[in-house]
Amino acid sequence: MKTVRTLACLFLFVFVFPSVNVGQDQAKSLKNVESVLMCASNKSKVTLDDTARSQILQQYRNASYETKKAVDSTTPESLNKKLGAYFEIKKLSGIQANLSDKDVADFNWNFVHGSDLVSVRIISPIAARIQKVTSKDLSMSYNIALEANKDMALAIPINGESFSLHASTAKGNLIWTATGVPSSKKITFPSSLSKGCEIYVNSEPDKAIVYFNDKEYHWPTNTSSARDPGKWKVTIKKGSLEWVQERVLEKGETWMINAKLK
Amino acid sequence: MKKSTLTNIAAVLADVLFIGVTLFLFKYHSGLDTGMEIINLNNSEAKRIATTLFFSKLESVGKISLALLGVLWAFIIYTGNRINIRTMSQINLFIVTNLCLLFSFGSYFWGYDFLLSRIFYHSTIDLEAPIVKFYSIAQLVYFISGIFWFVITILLCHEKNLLQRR
Repeated sequence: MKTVRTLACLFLFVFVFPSVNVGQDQAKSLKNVESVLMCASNKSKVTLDDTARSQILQQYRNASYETKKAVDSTTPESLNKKLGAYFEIKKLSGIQANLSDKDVADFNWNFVHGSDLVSVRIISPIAARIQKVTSKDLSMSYNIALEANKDMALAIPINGESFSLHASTAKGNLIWTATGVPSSKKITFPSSLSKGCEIYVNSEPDKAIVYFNDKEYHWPTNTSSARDPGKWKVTIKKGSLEWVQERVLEKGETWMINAKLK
Repeated sequence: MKKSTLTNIAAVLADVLFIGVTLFLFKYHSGLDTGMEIINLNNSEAKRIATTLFFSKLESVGKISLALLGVLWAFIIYTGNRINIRTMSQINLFIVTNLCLLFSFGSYFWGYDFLLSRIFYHSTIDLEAPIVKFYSIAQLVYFISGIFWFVITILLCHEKNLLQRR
């Protein structure tokens, strides 16, 4: 009986107590991360001067592209994670920050500026919020307010590939989705944010004939077209060169085509 | 040539032309691309003026079509005049005139709504778009045909032979 009691005590000391301690440590560190994330999402009101901000951004920028990519692709709440890291670095530097929507945009702009990703300026005719940007390898969640008719610098992971961008109203209703490859570094929301959809057709070389659902369009590339939602087949032809793609467009969706004719 | 013979010829001609034009426009419309280029109207005063003038033109032709239709029916309802529609050919002419003016008004009605919805949802209007030209041309074609058959109907349905030389 004594031997059994000794063995039981040994078992408790060796296996159970250490694991409880580890669990508590993990919980503590998770709580820290959680508070940092909460802090990021609540955007607490503290000021950060330009020098301090640029220092923090510089530190973040120095991280390798792979690291940034790994952080971004792990979770849809990637922005919060990045901001979490931002706060951690800031804490280490002994500085407290006031994160407004503009700061978040600046942060993203700077974050991508030093990487291989593409930064664009976004302009919306109405007040909206950018929700999510996805491309081939990355998915980034945002929650950035856009003022009506004011452009905002925003880093989005386009990386030369096709991407999709989702925007919502301030109340959270999805109002616009754009897909394709933007032809310029300035993305303008269409005015139709409710009923129709829009297709922007650019080609290389330009002045090619465009067909929508096999019906010839009256303007050659580079052009744009307001359409009803539904299935659209776009054919671009110039001499023997041709480009064809088909896509279903929903209400308020924008399809950006940047075709290289072969 | 007798007035009744003339009325018969006019009625057949009106039928053939109306059906022919309608079939042609219907076929043309089914093969038409309804897309419009996205042109920002906010930055161009000239484009805004052009659009306003275009809408005014559509509106005036539409209103005249409706007024002519009212005048045509006034001839029928008001018995104190000398317009009598009795024979089948006269009825035929009357129907074709009505249809021409109604189709002209219809083109205006649908075209106007279509353009307004494009402006509302896309802040754009492309006056060069085939669908815009189609509505405008269809309205004019039916309007001119309506006026022509209106005059012919009045001439051939009058109690007196207005075509006879005095």
